[in-house]
This record gives sequence, structure tokens and C-alpha cells, in this order.
Amino acid sequence: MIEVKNNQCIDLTDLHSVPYDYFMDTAVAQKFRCMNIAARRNKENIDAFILMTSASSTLYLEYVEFKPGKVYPSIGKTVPSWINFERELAENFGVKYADNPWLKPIRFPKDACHKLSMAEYPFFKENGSGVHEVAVGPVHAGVIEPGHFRFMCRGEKIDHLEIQLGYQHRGIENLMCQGKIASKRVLAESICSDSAVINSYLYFNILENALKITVPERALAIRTIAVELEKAALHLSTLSGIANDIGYVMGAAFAGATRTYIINSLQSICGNRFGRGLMTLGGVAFDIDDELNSKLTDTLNMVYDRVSHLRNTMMESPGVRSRLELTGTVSKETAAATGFTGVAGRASGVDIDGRIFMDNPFYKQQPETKYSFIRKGDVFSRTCLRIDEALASLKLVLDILKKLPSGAILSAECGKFASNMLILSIGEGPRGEYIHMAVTGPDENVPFESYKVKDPSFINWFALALSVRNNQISDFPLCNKSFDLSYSGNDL
Amino acid sequence: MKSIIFNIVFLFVLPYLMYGIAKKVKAFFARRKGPSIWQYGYDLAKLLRKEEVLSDFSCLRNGGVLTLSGVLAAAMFIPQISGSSILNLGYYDYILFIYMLSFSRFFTIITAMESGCSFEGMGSSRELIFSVTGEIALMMTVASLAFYGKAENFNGIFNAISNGGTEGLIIAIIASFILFVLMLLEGSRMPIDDPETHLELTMIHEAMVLDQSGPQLAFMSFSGMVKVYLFASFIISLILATCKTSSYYWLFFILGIIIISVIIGLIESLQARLRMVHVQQYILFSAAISLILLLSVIIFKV
Repeated sequence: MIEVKNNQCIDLTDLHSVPYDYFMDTAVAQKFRCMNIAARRNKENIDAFILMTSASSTLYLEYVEFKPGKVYPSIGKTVPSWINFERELAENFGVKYADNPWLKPIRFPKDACHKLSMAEYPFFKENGSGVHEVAVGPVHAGVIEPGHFRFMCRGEKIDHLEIQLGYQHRGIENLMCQGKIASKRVLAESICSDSAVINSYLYFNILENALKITVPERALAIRTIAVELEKAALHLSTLSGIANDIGYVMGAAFAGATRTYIINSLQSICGNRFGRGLMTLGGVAFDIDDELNSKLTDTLNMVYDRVSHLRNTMMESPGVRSRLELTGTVSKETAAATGFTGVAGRASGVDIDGRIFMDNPFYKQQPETKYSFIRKGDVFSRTCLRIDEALASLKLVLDILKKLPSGAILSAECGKFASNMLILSIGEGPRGEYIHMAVTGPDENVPFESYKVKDPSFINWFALALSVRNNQISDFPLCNKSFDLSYSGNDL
Repeated sequence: MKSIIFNIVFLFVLPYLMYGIAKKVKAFFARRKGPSIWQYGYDLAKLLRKEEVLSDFSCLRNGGVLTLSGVLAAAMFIPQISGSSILNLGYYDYILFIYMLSFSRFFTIITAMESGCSFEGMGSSRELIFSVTGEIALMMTVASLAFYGKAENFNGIFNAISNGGTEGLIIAIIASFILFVLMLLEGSRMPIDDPETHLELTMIHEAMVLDQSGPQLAFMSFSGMVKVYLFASFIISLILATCKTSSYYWLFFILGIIIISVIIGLIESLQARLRMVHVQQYILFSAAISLILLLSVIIFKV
């Protein structure tokens, strides 16, 4: 097990595999949180590069070889944050786990290792009088992505929710490894379109590390602005959704309109409201000149006031509070054990913030977060946290705009593509901790042997399933919206 | 005869106009332009022209017609725009009014249950639970009004309120308040039900019509609108009875309809919807007031 840093290139020849049992004992004893597992086929065996973190936010990397046909004991049984990664390994590479509590396909692609039909993975069933089953989706009434929700209810009360996703599976990770590297920016941006900026940010981090490019400070500033604007935009769109779900018309209209100002600001920088095409290898493709800078400052100051107004009106309205408070609670213990990141974790009191891993000087100056509410892990906490975070993001953007570093926006130097390396890239985006991991190939014709993306929704969908237990089924849409997770980010 | 035709014509115009006005108010608060106030009428006309999709297994194919017929039958007994009701039975038409509303609700629920859909099952159970309490409130309110006027029909009730002076005014106001809450319940408006939500799991009334289409859906939607209109007419008739208006009655009536629609719109714009577990308390609250009204009428009148 080696200690690693974000954006580090790790030479694969330096890594030595450890026996699974030994690794499992350490992971279980130290209660490591699994962050991502990049795997590749190595002849018959499966090489798994496991990125994990300890409670003190130190990153560790471990290299484990899985042999075909052998059955392994599950870590997820004792440390729940591993369950989904084990499911993924089992599905993509056919690793066999003996006692994983829920070894069901996550995406169920046609070329999965298991040649079983989906009917052999039945939904969790509950028997008894008064128990009824409600199936929602995958086609929904609203403008949301496909996903299937299966409830076991007792009257109006939810006993159990099972979430079945995978309808948006496009094979992003495989596509990343195929063909020319030049076209992959578009692919990275389409992993999840409302977090296009953070995904392309992490993708270019990997490429720049592989090519030993240092991004100029001005370009990094513009990248950070885009990441933070994207975060604020998503938070406001969620707020609008929450207000709409509880029938609070004014809040929905106000938050929705405010979000438009933010995404229009992104458009005025790069021509796309979701920040597509802004990033490029070695920097950014669009500069912010003085005229645009003052225009952005004016708009974002106005947006800041509007969001503060939303905090003081909507979140103080008795009707709204009665709907949001103590609905869909996730306890701190659950959130910590299952490793929820982003809003889902922080609203429950788990301080996991991907920004501490990012070597971005603009985040180092950030003051410590002050919460304007008590973190109870309910819908109200998540809604308030979204407003707090949107305000913090806007403040950071305004600070950077005030002291925008001068210089070039593109790096001139370019090294040789590093082969046989494992490159990490971790970042904090709108939904939590985004992680890209790449294993570079032996020569430039095969840039990536394996490319692994982790969207925070991959783990955070659990939070939704846990939060609705013992809640009214009529509150489910509200809980769902308060997490506002990505379907395509999970399905890849 | 003229007043009957007058009533019937406006019975088919004012209900969706009320919804249109409420929608316009909501749009104003969302800083939107909003659809025309006639939009609900256009929607109904569109639905009536559409084809109906029915399951091969459905055995109750006229749920919308039955629901609407119940509501229209109830509409016969309430004084409307002309100041008098369409039909004058003479005896205990208020009881028939309540039963006709229950009749129509029965067929809405039976149609929803018949589809076998889990959403519609949930919608039906919610509708039943809430309307059971609502019915108690309506029954007690009408009973207290009838007891107050020793009236045998709606006309008697309004005559008594009209001749009751201050006493009549107080009773009319309290009854109007209860009827307003019941109107929101029957018309599935906010804060009880959100008519515009797309979330099946939070719906009450909307969930019950998920499988309806074409003319049957038009009848179902229209009966909801007529119910709101009937309760609004009831309230306006009570208030106007205390004012003893006779000339330009229709003008005051339309003004009342507009005011009630605007209030519905205001509630929907300024308030969040109630949590489902609180809806029952909200309706129980109106039932409690109706009980107090009934008891005080009995105590002070006897």
C-alpha cells in the first residue's frame, strides 16, 4: 500500500500486488473508504488499482490481482462504502464475491460477464398484510432521466426502496480507451451534461499530467470560475425543483430565473451555457477580458443578492419549513459508513470535501465553511446547504474575478506522453467527489488501457434509498430532488 | 324559464373561467405571462374531440360520464347566477346535494380502482380518507344552516340568512369559511392537492384520472371544475343573501366568482403545499369549526 497524492503519475512498475486477504484485513481494520477502483485485464488475471482514503483524508493506493474462478470474501459486508465498487468489479470483470450483501448488476450492459437475464436478480420483496408494491419509472412524467424505483410500502409509509439504474449506459469508459485521444474532450463532457465542466477539468488534468504540462495561472483561474459557476447553477436548479415539488410557485420561478443568469454568464465566457468547449489541453480556449470581467462581476453580484434573498424568504417560510424539516433524514453514522460525498454527506455532518485533494491555489484561500443551519441530514439541511454552497461559490468567483492573474491562457510546453502510468485526478464538483483514474498504455497508439470515472451519484444513490425509509411515499419526490443525483453519471 | 337557461349557460362557462383566473394569478406571481383565462375551456374542447384509449380488460368505461352526471345533478339545487336554482324540489334538496356529490366521488374512485394501477389505488385511498372527513364537515355545516332557518330546502336557508340580521351574517361567514376549505378539497386545489404537479406519488385527485383519456378525461376534469364552481356559488349565495341584493344580482355573483378565483390563485402562489399527513388535520379543523357552528346554532336557537 502506498500513499499517493492527487494528480500524481504512478509508475506501474513500482507497484507490486498484495494478496487479497492481507489487503482486506487492513481495509476492514482501518475502515478505509473506497474512492475508486480502476481495473484492467492482464492476460487471465484482473489488475485492480484501488484508491482509498483514511479518516484523516490521506490517499492510499493498493494493487490487487484477482484470479479468475477464485471466490473472494467481500469487504462491503463490513464497510458499506465498498458494496457498489465490488458490484461494479463483479459486473465488468467477473470477479466473484462470496458474501457481498447485494451483488446485483449496476448497469447491466449486454456484454457483461454474467450471461444471466435480469429476471434472475429479483427485487427485494416483503410480505405481510397491508404491504403493497409501487413501481415508478423508468419513464417518468417530468423532464428527468430514466431510472426505476421499486417501493415496498405499508400504507403510505415506505419500508424499503430499491433503485435500479443503468438505462443511460453508453459505455463511456470503454469509449475513452478506443480511438484517437483528440476527440475525447466531447466524451468527457457528456459523462453527465450538467457537470460537464468538472468532468472535462479532471480529464484534462489527467492528460496534462501524462504530458507534463503545467497550466498557466490565468487558465487555472478561468477553469476554477467555470467549475464554481457550474456548481452554483446546479444548486439553484435543484432549489427550483424543490420549490416546485412542494408547490411553492414563487420560489421555483425565482430560483429558476436566477440559475439562468449563472448559466448565461458561463455562455458569455465560452459560448455554451453548460461550459462545454471551455477547457482545452494546456489551459482554456476562451479568455475573460476586462469588459467581460466587469459585466460578469455585475451579474454575479446581482445573483449573489438574489440567492441571499432566497435564503431569507423561502427558507424562512413556515409552509416550506414544515414540508422540508425532518423529511428524508440520513444520520451522520450512516453517511460516514456508506461514504456519501458532496451535499448528501455534508448535510448529514460528514465533512468530506474533494477540494482538499485538489492542488488548486484558489481553493487554498477559501475560509472555513460556516453553516447557517444545524446539520441534521434532512431535506431542509440539504436545501440550506445548497444555498450556502451556491453563495460560497459565487463569492469565490467574484474574488477570483477581482484579482484575475495576468498571463497566457494556454501552456506552450508539451512533454512526451507518459506510458505505463496510473494517473489520478480528484475534484469536487456540484454533486460531490468526482474521480477520474487512467492507466496509460505502453505506447502512444494506445493512450489509455483503462479509464475509470466515478461520479458521486454512484455512491450517493444509496443515500436516497436510505433516506426515504419510514417516510411518507408522497415525500419521495421531494427527497429525490433534494439529492438531485445524476442518472447518466451513475450509468456511464 | 329565462333564469334556468341563464343558469345552465353559465354553468358551462364559469367553472373553467375560475380555473383560468386562478392560473393567471399564479402566473403573475411567477412573473410569467400565463395562458389565456379560456385555456381550460380550449383544453376541454380538445379532449372532447380526442380518441379514447381503453384497456381491453376495463369493464367500467363510462366513469367520467357517471362522475359528471353526479356533479351536474348536484348543480341543479344550488342557486347560481340568476339567484335561484335550476330545479326546485321543495323538500330536503340539500341532502340530495350532498349525496349527489358522494355519488360522483364513488364513481371516480371505482373507475380509478378498476384500472388496477398502484398510483390510482393510492390516489383513491387518499381521496377517500380526506373526503370522509370533508363530508362530515359539509353535512354539519348544511345541518346547522338548515336548523338555523328551520328550512326544508336551499331557498329556506338563504331566506333565513337574509332575514337573520347580524346573527345571519355571522353564521354565513363561518359557513363560508368551512365551505371554502371544502371547495379546495373537492376541487383538489392547493394546499391540499397540487393540480399542476407531475409527481404521481404526491397526487391525490390527479392520480385517479391517470388512465383516463379523451372525452372521459374531459368529463372528469370538468366535474372537478364544476364542484369548485358549486361551492363558490354556495358561498356567494350565502354572502349575497346577507346583503339582500336583488338588482344586478348576476353582476355581484360574477364579481364574487372572480374574487374567489383570485383567492384560490393567491393561496396557490404564496403557500407551499401541505404535507400529506397534515392534510387530514387541515380538513379536521374545518370539521371542528362546523361542529362548533352546529352546536351553537342548536344551543342559541332552541
